[in-house]
Amino acid sequence: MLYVFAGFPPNVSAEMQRLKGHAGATRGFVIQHEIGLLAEDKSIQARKEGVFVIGAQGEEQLGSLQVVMSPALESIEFTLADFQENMAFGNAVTCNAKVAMISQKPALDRYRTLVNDPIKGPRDFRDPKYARNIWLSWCLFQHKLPEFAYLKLLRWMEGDNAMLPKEVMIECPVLSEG
Amino acid sequence: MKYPPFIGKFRTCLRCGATKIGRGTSTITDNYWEHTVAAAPANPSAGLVRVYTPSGRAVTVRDSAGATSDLATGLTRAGGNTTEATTTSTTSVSLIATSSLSITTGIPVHAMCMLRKTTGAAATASVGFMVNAVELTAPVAWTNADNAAYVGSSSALFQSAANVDYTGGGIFERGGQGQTATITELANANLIPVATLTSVTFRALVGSASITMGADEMQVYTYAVA
Repeated sequence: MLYVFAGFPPNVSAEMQRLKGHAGATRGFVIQHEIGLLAEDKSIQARKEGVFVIGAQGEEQLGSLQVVMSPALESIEFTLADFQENMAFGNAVTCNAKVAMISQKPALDRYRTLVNDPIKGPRDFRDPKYARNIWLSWCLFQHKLPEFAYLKLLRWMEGDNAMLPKEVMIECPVLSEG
Repeated sequence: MKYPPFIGKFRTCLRCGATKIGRGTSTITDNYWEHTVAAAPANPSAGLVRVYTPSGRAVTVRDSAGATSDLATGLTRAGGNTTEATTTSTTSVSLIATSSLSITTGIPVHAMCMLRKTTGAAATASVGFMVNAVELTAPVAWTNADNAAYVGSSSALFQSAANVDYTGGGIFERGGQGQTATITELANANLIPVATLTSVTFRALVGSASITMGADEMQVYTYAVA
């Protein structure tokens, strides 16, 4: 199960960022807080086209890729279809990868004010050079995360003010206030 | 009454010091020189050249025989990505990319980025290269397999294919601190597509998920072909 988040983890200390990078720090967070089991097998690769087993004799598709987009990404209707062909997510954790979307998202400039995006600064988002780029982080787990674990990971990846899933906001208004 | 030829065409502002020439179409100040974007002028006299801006950011020089050369676009920065991306993926991942490009066929391209690997396990970090959706070189190791932090870089020099009969070649270089840089054929896993290049991506993987590989400071340049 691939979990995709906007931007990159904002609360990684500068020292940890230098030592392990955002991805290493996130892997440490997942292990320390027992969020779930990351898929780290050297033969497993997630791609837009599906999950593949890579072996010495070639590769074989295991099945389609199951993806959970964060609520911030859902709010701009960002889906797997927006990635370019042959997009490889690999496995485990990847942070702050710049991704070119197939087409421009009209809501992207509004969305950029909400998340930890490297080009949040004063750019002209009508310029196609910026309008199709998005920075994402993702984790490939061996299984689906329980809701409490997902919420913890979501706050790590997108910050304390991360947009929450709608169902959580309805059931727990305190959480939705951040 | 006859006036000298510069009257009305050459004046200096006594307040800011800007000098305007030719009815205000060219201005010289202490920190810039600007002139109107315009079509090519007539040829100058022998021994002289004319510098003009035919369009956009191009600056062209024209000699008395009408030969021109473009001064500003011999090398063009097509794009870049200067935010660090990191991964613990043990299979190939699209790590750092420059997108929204529009590099037409038959153009020389030079792409480069800086790399790093953290400690955590005695394993290598690898880097590969793709254009559009085509992986030209699958990730290959750029570090030793020891539990140490490394810094390095990778670059690719190739020509966007203009013809289906010429889609190979290119140079793919990678190397790390204290090691010899390795150079191999770029179009190794697949051939260069005959298409406008819209994105250039360095792919990556690590030998153990306990180490992190990072990439940053990516730049993509194109060379003029005329």
